[in-house]
Amino acid sequence: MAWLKRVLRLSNLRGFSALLALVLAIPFSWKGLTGFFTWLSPFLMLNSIFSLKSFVWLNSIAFLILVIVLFRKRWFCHHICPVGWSCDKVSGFSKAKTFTYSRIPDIGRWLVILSLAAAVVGIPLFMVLDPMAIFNGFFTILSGKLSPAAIISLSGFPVLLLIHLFFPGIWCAKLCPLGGLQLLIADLKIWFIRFFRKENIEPAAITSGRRYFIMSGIGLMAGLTIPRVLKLPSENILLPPAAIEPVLFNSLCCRCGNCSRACPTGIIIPNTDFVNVLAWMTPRISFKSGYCLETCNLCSQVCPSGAITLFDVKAKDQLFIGTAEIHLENCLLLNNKECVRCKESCKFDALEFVAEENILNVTPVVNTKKCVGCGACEVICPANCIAIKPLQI
Amino acid sequence: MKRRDFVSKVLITGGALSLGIGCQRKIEPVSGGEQKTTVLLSKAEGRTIKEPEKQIPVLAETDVLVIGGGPAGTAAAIAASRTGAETYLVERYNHLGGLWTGGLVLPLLSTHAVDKQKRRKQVIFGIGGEMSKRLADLGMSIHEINPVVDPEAAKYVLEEMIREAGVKMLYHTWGTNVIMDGNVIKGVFIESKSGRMAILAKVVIDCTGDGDIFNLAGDKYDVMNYAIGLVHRLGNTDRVNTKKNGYVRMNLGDPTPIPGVNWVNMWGKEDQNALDVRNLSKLQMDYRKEIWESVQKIRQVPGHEEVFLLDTASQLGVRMSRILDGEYRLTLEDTMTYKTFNDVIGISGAWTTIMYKGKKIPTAERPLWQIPYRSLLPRKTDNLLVAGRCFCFERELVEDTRIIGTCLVTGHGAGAAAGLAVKERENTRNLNTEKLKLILKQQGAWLG
Repeated sequence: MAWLKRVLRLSNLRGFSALLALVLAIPFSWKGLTGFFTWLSPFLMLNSIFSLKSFVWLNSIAFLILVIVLFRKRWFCHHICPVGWSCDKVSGFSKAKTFTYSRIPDIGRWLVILSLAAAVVGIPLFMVLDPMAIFNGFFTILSGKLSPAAIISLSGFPVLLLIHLFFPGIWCAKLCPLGGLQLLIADLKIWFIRFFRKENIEPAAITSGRRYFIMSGIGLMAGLTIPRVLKLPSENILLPPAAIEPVLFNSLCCRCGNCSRACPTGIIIPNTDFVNVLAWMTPRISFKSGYCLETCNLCSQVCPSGAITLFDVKAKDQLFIGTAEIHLENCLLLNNKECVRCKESCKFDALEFVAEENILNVTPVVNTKKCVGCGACEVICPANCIAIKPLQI
Repeated sequence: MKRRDFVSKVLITGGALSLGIGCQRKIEPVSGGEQKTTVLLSKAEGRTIKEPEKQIPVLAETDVLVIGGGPAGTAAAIAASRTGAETYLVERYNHLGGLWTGGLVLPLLSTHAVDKQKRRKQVIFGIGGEMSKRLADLGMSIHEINPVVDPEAAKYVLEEMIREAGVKMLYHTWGTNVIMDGNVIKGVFIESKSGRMAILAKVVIDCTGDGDIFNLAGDKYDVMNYAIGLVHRLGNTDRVNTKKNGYVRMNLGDPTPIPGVNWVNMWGKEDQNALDVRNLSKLQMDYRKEIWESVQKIRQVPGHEEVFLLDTASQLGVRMSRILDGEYRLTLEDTMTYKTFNDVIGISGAWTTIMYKGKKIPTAERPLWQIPYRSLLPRKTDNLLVAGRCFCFERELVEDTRIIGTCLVTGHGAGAAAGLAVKERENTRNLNTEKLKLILKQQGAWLG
């Protein structure tokens, strides 16, 4: 049993955790759990809660981790983080083992301050740098046929590992915002103890309050100004159901790819249009491989940032992705063919057959109030004459 | 702990909890009140009158009685007669083939499908295949896959096959009531110019399409309202002068084996009750008027002067009405997964694209599917078989079950089963399915 004890030693926990994260990230049949590790990240959780001023119950897991971190410094890094584990393993191969970064500032910590301060008043800034999002995002390349641009963009995790061959340990020590958040919590703890207990402990270990103040100020200014400066180019993009308004969506989305991997019909793919750089790699909908199932809310269940709001399956008739547009030239029904596939496929009763002047010319007409743009008719139409168009805002 | 501390802690916890619940994020459905629709009955609706009892002459005592001479009924009668059983076929119009011929729904759909090796091939053989082949030999069918036939040729071929098989034919006759002994059907009352008569039979096959017989026998069913249309044919479609000044291309339907004659399908009004004769009559009149006006409009378009309305179908295009609640309900999944049945009576194909599990499956990739004998068996009535568009299946499958090809397959299966039941002096429910499959194979059916 000695080997079992050795295996189960707490120091090995991170290896198991990394394995579990890998298994969960690869989209198997239990898609509701894909990217579960993104829910463990307090950085994503705080940004999400700060910008949306609301939460979902799964956020409490990250909150629990935050509480643990309060008592055990960098507990997440030491025992959970799959990225940290892999970076450490890769760093082991590096020849530059004695590299130290004492002259580099704690970038991660400042990223957190900036991001959270901006999130409170407007949009979070650095969601994409969360290690859990980077880790899970990489495995999205397994979810379907993606463009080369998308695959390159999703390769943050291997790039990170590559960097560690030359600069071992740099991510965890200096860059990681999740690590920075934990350092911040530790600082906060000392500050609290000093303030309430009037005890003077480790005065040297703490960063000066003035820097925090300045950084928070910059973050607040950024959060207030950036959304006003951003003018969205008119895009032809279909967002997943229950996606929040585009400016916040683009910055809140952490590009973890959970929704793409969870989608049972594989219609959520990363956006690689060059129209709007800020929307790069955010999820968008393409009805090539299927339609948005009326019985599914997986994308909203797995979204750790709340960019896709959690919704009830029964509420799907209010969640508009777009609206169907029928090009009647090729419509089989209008050519007296026995085809009503669009109406059959519509689960929202949004298609009507109207006989305008003569019963021989029955025309399919979309009821735009009922049509949520689920894409079922676009997918099924044998003549390919239906397309879902984004709603005009 | 002091009381004040306790109270303040409870307050804080409660406040935090309520704040927390208030901030929870989820989009919930809007609960809307369901509207109730009240059906207004006309004054005469509730009134009834008793029909006087009387003695009914027995026209015949036979082995197999088939009610309805559509594709299913004709195939059933031929199959039963070929097993050696004495067979009567009762048809309300003056022709065989039902909607295929009289309804002018000319394409024999779903003749082909994809097998497990992903090869698209012909699946409908047996009596249906024989009909199709004889029509092709006469030069009265076009296209190899899903052939379009000439209605008069089909009426002739079907009648010839009935004659050759020795089926006793009763045209202009309705099956009006069932003769029951407990749960066993013993025959059917018929109504014609000769008045009311009875035919006693060992096995009755309900090929009415609307399931009139199993309804009368007291079996359960679903009613499916669907669109009802009326097909018409246009003549001189080859004499359209496209070079004439002001010519605009008009929709003249699809070609038939007769040059210059096109058939024009009509989807018609949605959600129609096919079991209400007043509704059917109204639709018939409305549609005929609309067709006439539409053809007049076409004739006014330059170049189309010689096009004329050849005929409107003598049968209204009822797509669906009753669906039997049988011993086995065939599902869309069965048809999409090559499900095999021990009691398979036939294999049908696919003619349209369909949505399956959120994915589009084009016609050319759709698998062939087996039909089990149990889906032709009503749950309650013994010695009654159901073939044609009203056998037991799930609604998602309706596009494939209501069409001519599948009707021919179920008809053939039911006829052979009835013949076997008579031969073996066996209840239809306890039939030896191995023997049934043997008979079907001897009659040329393909069972995979």
